[in-house]
Amino acid sequence: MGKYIVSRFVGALITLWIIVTLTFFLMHLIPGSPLNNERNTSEAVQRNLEAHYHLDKPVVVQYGIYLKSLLQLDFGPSIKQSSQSVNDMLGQGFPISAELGFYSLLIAVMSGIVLGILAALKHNHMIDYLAMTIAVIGISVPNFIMATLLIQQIAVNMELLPVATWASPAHMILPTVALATGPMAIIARLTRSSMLEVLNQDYILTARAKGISTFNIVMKHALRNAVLPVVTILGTLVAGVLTGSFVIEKIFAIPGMGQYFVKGINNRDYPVIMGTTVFYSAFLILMLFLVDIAYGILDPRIKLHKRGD
Amino acid sequence: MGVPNQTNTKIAEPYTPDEMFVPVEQNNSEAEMISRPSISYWKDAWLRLKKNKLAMSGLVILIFLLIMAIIGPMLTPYSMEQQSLTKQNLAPSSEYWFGTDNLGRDMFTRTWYGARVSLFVGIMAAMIDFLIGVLYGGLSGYKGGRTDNIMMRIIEILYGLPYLLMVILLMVVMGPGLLTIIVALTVTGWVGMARIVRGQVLQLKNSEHVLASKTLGASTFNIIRKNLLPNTMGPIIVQMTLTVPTAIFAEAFLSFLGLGVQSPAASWGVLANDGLPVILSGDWWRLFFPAFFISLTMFAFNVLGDGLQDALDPKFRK
Amino acid sequence: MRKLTAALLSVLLVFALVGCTTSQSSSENNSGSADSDNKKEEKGGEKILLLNNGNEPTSFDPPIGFDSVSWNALNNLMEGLTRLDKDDQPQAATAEDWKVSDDGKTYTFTIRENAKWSNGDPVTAEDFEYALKRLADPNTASPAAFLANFIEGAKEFNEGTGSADDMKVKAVDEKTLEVTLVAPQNYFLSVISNPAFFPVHKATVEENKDWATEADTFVGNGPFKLTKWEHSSEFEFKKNENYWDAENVKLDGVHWAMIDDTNTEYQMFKTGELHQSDVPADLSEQLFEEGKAQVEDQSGTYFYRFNVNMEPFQNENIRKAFALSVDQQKIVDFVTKNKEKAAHAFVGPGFKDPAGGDFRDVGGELVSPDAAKAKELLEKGMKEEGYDTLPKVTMTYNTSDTHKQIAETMQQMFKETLGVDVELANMEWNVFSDEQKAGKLQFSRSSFLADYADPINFMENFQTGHSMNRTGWSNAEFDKLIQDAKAESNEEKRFEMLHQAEEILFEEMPIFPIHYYNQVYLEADNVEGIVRHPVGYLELKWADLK
Repeated sequence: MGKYIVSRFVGALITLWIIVTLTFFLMHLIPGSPLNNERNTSEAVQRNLEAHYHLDKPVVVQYGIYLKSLLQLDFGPSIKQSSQSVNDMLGQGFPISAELGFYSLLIAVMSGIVLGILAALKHNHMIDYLAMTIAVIGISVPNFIMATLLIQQIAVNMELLPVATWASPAHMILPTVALATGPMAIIARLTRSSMLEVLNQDYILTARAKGISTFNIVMKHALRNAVLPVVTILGTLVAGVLTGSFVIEKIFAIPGMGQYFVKGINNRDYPVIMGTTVFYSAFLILMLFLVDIAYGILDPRIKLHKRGD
Repeated sequence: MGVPNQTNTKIAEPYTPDEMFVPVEQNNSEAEMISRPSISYWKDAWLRLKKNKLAMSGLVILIFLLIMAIIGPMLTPYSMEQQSLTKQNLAPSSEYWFGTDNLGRDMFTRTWYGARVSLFVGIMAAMIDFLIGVLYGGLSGYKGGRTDNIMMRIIEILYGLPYLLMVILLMVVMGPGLLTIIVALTVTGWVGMARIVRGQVLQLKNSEHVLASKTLGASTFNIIRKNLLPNTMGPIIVQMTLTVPTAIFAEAFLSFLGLGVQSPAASWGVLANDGLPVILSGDWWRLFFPAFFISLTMFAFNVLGDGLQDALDPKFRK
Repeated sequence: MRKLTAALLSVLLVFALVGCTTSQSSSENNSGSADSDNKKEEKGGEKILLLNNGNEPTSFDPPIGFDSVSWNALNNLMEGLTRLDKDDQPQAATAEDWKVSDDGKTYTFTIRENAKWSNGDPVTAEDFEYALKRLADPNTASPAAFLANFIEGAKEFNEGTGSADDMKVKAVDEKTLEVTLVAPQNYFLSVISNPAFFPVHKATVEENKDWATEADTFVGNGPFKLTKWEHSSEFEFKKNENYWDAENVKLDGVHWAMIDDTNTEYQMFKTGELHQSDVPADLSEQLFEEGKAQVEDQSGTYFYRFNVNMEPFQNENIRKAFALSVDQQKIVDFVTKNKEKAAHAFVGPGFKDPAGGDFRDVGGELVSPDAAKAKELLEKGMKEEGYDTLPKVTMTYNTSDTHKQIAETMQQMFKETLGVDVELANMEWNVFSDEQKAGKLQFSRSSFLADYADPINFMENFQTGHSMNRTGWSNAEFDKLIQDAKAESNEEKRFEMLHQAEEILFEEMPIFPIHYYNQVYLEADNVEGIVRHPVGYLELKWADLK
């Protein structure tokens, strides 16, 4: 096991390095520059700016410079927002995004799994259809419409909650719900479907025949096998949601890190693009690793590493 | 859409209960295989599906949507791009069945025109999901070890690269158009499916029936196709049905960036996007119709998918 | 069961790890909510204006943050030699008085005795000299440096051919500043109200190059001081007691949110969480009818550029045919619906000539829709070029809902009037800007917002090879008129030259206008005294809450 973890860690570093390299050259390939300005800046100014951010050097040299600072975990300055370094942006934005994402996922996972189990147990009955309706709406109404509707109905018309910003627990409710609906629906659908498969397995039928209560069957036997696809998508979901949703953060004016993914690219703010990519990728790789570990725990038959590997 | 298509092609052959009792020809090369004859599997599935009223209603809705996408824009005297600036934001009426938008264009014509783009994109995305995702995931999970390791690292890289950056590059290189959209969706659209299938295959590949097939010398491809996939159909179908609305909205996002169909042409996703301000202004029809048909599509795919899962699940067979 | 627990625990562990990192921030948030409660209490006694800045300011360092997200706020944290009054005219501010030499080139400013920095230090002529040289210094790399080019030696210094010492800005003594211009410019007093010309506290800047990035280290000399700045989230102003005119500042403070979404901004305005909002798309008509939306001019023009180096727009008549097919009035009435003025020339309204007339009124309409003539011109142009069918025309705009709607309407107008099917293409802003500058776009959306209040700011853009030209158009007579106008001290003659230049521009039509910009906004009933200039930034000095 220890050896496996070490080999996965080395693999992760290589993967990360490939992502960094590809992203670096990709972003220099697309048109536009962080120094793109509508006005007429003099050549001397342009030269100075380029020199300051090393943009005057060949891309390969810039790449070397970047790797060097990356090894010291320094993501560099933001070219567009001079008041913050990329480390500041991530340091201030991530905790907020993570908090929002954590609550959303908590709601999504719990209600999604419960809905899915109920739907599977009452297969083709009212509850199944109801759960499906909720899921269909949750998936086919995108979160920007959901968010705007929630604000208009609950905050503006009923005046129950504040409209936006991230000032108090009351401010957190609407964005959390808006962010949770999509994942909840996905989890509910996946749980239902794999639950249905599991519930018809011989060992479940045996358990039923032995007179074990439905609740115990679900909790002790079925859920563990049925939850596997949910665990699979949780890996990417956790990484995606905890690092911030651009749409939700924009609509609710939440100062998380989701905005930087899009703003960085829109402004061609190279250090921001790289910083967000490295951070997200590292997080993602970690999550996918945990998913693989969770596979082994959920189902001991799954072995990702040979003995002594 | 891959699965329903496959079932449809199989129903052409006449099916009678007698056939079930026709003795199987002796074939030494296949004698050792442990798997059901596949024709019977698909036929059986179709029979079960036909009995499922909800699933059939999903199929009917989908066919209706497809027909309307073809003939809908021709049912009105208006063209998709024709503006009439004095008739802006009119509510649905006998003249404009779905009302008009903020430039005085007929929403009925635009909605069904949009259906063409959105249904095409949705179905294409589901097919990509199925063709690439299932194969990739199946192979990765089944081979395991080093192959799995490398294949999964490639997926991590695809996940990690900033999508927006790739999309901008695509636009610069390929220019706008439906093909560009399909390419943009192909780049990463299938990775979710691949991971789910891999997870399932990892779990299943050590079960008794797979081990038995393996011992008896079945090829990797046949084991994946006949032993592993039928038992993974549930999550695969769910994932495919989830891909459809995701792709419809992804198309709207890509069009917004300049990749997709160019204005004044529109898709459901673009119409829904344009209709967002009506939540404040109250001209509900501009958001309702595109959103309703996206949901309806989603609903149809879901009930059909659920029906298919029941129909295809080998464990339901009696 | 034990294994199930283990599995659940492992998943929970992941969450818990994150939960730990967030619990800190949530406790901060709790104290933050206590703050907001205080704020509400304060609102009872104190007058706190609630505004939205949209985004994080680029920078509060005057020469760096050259955009409205920085300068709308900065305009109230600092003050230059002059400040624009309610009628957009420059008035004495940090300078209490000035003298102009006979040749109109040398200005001698006397700085107010009681002009002080927020840290209590007096504002000196040296601070100004330092700040203006810093603006022009190529090492500062200010995007606004070109504004200093009025001052003798600034351009050379900025371009690296001159030195700081040769730039003619001099602190004669502690309170006297002397500035020498390249040519006499009547509008110089208005130009220096611009944030680029704000002084900086020399000792602070020299000591800490990041002085403008945090509220703690920021030093200003304006009506308000920066008391809190949570990056990408919010910032706060309090009244600056050290401001020389503090008795005329009625607000106790300003709270700035950063809400990037117009719908959300409007919804917060509706619930009273903001005192001011933009007007969301599709609501303007309704809000104007209800009398809630208000309008103020903004000097700038929304227009389209032809690329005269690309077929078929090398032909003047074809360019004119397209220009005459567009009905500007229809676009503002039915598409943008923000009560913009339809534009029939390039220089916007609001610039008074020496005789007191408005430059726009005197110049008149230089392009108006005329379907019959447009058709005629197209035929003529096609004959001249020997076209049987017109080469494909693609209209490009940068991604935005409004640009899209305007383009769709124009597309229909070209079809109806000329029978030409024009294709539309939208591009992400940076790609668009890159291609437009490189002359790769055939026919593209454009906009211009004035940097200073004079028609020449509009006209100079179309000189040969100017970075804002981007049409490939070149006309020697036009170039000469602009250069002459820049050196001309007689205002009447200067305006005449500018009129002539504008006529040449529209005779050859490398561009055509759609509408002049304006500022449409909603304001709470109890707010008064906020001033919005057509050229300039938000003015809160006289704002009050009733």
